[in-house]
Amino acid sequence: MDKKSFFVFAVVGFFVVLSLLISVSAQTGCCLKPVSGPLCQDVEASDCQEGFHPSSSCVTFDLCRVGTCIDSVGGECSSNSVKYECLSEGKEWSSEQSSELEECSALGCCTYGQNTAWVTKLRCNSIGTTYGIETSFDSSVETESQCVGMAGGSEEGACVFERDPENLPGALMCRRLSKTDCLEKGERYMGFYPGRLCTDPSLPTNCMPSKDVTVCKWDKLYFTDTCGNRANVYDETMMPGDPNVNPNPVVVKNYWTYIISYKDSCDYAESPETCGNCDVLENSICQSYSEASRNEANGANFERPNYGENVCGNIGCWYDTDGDGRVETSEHYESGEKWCAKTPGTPWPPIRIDSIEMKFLDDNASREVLKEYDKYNIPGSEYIELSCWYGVVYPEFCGNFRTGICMEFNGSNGRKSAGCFENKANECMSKENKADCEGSIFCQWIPGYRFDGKELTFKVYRNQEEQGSCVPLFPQGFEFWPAENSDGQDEDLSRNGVYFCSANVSVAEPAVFETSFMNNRDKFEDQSLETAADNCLDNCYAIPMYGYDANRSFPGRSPEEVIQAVLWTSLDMPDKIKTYALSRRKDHYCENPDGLMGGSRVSGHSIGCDSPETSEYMQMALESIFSGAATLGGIKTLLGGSDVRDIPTFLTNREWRESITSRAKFMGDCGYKPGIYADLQGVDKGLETIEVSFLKLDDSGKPKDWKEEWQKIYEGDSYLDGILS
Amino acid sequence: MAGKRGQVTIFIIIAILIVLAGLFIFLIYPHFGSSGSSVNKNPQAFIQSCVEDDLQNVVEKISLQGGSVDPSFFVYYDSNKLQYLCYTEKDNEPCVKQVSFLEDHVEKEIASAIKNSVDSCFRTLEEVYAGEGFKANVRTEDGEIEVNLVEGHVVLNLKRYLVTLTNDEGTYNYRSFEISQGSNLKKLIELSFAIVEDEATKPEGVDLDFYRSNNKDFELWEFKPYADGTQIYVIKNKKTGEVFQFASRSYVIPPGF
Repeated sequence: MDKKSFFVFAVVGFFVVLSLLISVSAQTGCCLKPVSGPLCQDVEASDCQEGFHPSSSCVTFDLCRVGTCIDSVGGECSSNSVKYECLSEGKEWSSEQSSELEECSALGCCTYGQNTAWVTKLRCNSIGTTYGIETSFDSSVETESQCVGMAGGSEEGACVFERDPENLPGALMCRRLSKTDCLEKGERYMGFYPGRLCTDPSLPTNCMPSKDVTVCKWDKLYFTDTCGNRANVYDETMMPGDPNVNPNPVVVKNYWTYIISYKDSCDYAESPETCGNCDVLENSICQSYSEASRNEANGANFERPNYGENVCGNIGCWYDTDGDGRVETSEHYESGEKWCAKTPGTPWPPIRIDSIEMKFLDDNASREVLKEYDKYNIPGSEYIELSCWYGVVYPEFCGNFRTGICMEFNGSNGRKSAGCFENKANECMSKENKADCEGSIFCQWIPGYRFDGKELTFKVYRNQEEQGSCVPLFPQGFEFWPAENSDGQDEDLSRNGVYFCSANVSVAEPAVFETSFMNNRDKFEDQSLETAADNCLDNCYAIPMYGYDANRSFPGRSPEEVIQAVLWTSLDMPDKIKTYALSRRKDHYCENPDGLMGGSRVSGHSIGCDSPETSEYMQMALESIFSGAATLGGIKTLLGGSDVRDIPTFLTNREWRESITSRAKFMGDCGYKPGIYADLQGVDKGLETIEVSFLKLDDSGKPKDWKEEWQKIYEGDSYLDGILS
Repeated sequence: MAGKRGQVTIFIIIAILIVLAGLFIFLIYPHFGSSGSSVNKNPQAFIQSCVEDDLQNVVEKISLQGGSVDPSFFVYYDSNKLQYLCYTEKDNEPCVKQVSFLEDHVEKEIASAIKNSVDSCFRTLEEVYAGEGFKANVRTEDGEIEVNLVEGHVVLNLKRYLVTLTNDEGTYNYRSFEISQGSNLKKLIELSFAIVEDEATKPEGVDLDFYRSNNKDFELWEFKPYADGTQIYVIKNKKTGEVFQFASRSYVIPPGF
């Protein structure tokens, strides 16, 4: 091999080795414990801290399986644990769910010594191992209370024993204990007096009522004695020497002699100032005075107790829910009560529902409030449920993107209650009529286009119960930041630094209108609104401002009502229809009996179809509607067999715009929302536009020369001046 | 007269001496006191007082970071790295535990984090006792730390830490030490473990109200500060102010349709 060949061989060899090294180092595999991130990830070797398995995927790798980790020593099971992590901690692992493992899930009564516990078999064995005692597990015991009842020697009493036989022979001490525990004193045991207190004067000890120390136990306040034992439920009238002491000395003596159940003790509701029988149902539990005095619910003049440092403290909450800087009486909440917070962009007062029927308490009012799409459920808004627990107010966030909705309802016993309800917005779009749609409190019906594109409006019957779309009442949020598209590339959703949604929500609607032969049809900008409207043939509602003041001569009627009346009945039309921006191309709305166009009838200012019978019915129907005696739906029956042409989906431009705008907005944040991410004044109005294309048609209605002209007619939140005006 | 003047001088000198002696005792005594209290024949007490500050810091740090001294998989919350105790990157699916048994994990984390401090304290003990006339011999090489969380305390069992102290009075051998720090970490961990178990198994989520109503000495908070649905849990002991917090991501409902 000459020098040149050797050099070439060396260089090629170098690169071959280098590429091999690179390929090896970049090889991915299953890593049990990555440097960062969750356990069991497919990463490169350099990103793996422990347990790298090249050419393996964690999805199928045995040590990455998820199951139940069993700690026999501690007597516990841990669900959804990674096999690798479990075994490396010296535990046992099972591929079964913990709920399927009897040792982890089946509760029974575990007996150890004189005691019992309601635990799993695994835990029971663990108790025996930990304390070195024999245990027995009985799975036939059905309830925890049965298990508790199986414990022996639990009755309490006064346990008298020698305090310190070596140094203080003969000195006795008393403790309030169970007999079982008392007998454990062994040789020091001197006697057990069931049901007695250590303050019993007949006992050979010297435990006296304590005026300085009280204790909290099971939420109730108890006196103690000078030997440190718990006595009976705190009752100031039982304290010898108290100004209000019970005048019957026998009662007082018995109080300090026998153990009295809290059920037979003083009534907190009757005498909260002197009784320590605190009652959770009365919104009160035993707590330290310092803790209780911090809770505004106890009032500003909350007094110290006469004996000891503990009191029955209020566990309710005061909370300025409406944020007006004052805490009103209505803003006091009992422990356990829940309500909805006032948060930006959510309805206030909160929506109230019947939580059983899942209906709004006031359906119409609630829906009207929620239709204010520029005020409520705006991007970034979030519902929060508040709850009061032991004097602390907790927020429960109902979820980003309005996945949860807070609504209030009546709780049991008249208590306030609320909940974060899952926003079932994604169920709305499959509902095809108003009844189904608004049967759900999460959906609303918007008359107009249908998602399936069908036209179910016909004749004079608008059929708005079916002609429309079911959309969420609480629009869900979407990520407005760049998301990966199907090609795995980030979509550019920003323009001039302002993010917007990329969803294509454009609507194309061809309005057809004639122009006079006197006009140059190439100059579309010459068309005035009135002319365009007056000569409109089809989909006239797409013409800006079409029918904007059709109700000018009909006070109290909406333009849509009047148009329906004018164009599909024989209601008298006012003079100069052209000034109302309405079409009078009645020929296109009626058919003659032969099915040919041109069957309209004009009588004076009355416009109607050429059927006296139909006109008569229509007049009747209209009167019925205006008087409230009939609905639009009823007209269909009245006019069966009518030769009136179908009503278009929308009657005015306003109705059309409101319908498509509402529908888009309620579909979520990516819908059409003027200035949603900033004040409209501060953003590019070009983000929110409606453009119109004018296209000349020939006599047969086909495009002529494809001469097309575009104009922007709507920008931001208003029409542009000078366009069709 | 001269005699009286001499007497007065002597009294003045005595008075000055008394004042100086008082000042000497007042200024110097505290140093006697401190050196005397730190060096005693109770190495157990010495190690306890030496370690307890660091132990408290370790317990506090671990509590604020989801049970780990140096979390490997975490989310930032309130400037703390919160360990994910349960996580899934998928929506509508249960999380996978990142730590099967939290109490065991925390005990090991504390043992690992406090090791250097403990070893350092034994070296200090050796120096201090040597300075006080003891022949001190300390072996930490085989030392092992076992941490136990018990009700109300964190207990450190220092095993095979060999200390031999010899002076004129005799030789004292110590083989193990126990350090106890008041803390309710065990209860915080038990509550957290139960919550994580619910996170991993209950599609409807954790019923925090259940835990609140059964643990009135604790405040239980949950937050969702991130858009990915990560849940932050904060548990606080109302009486001691101790806090344990961690992160979890489970059964996340995705945004939109």
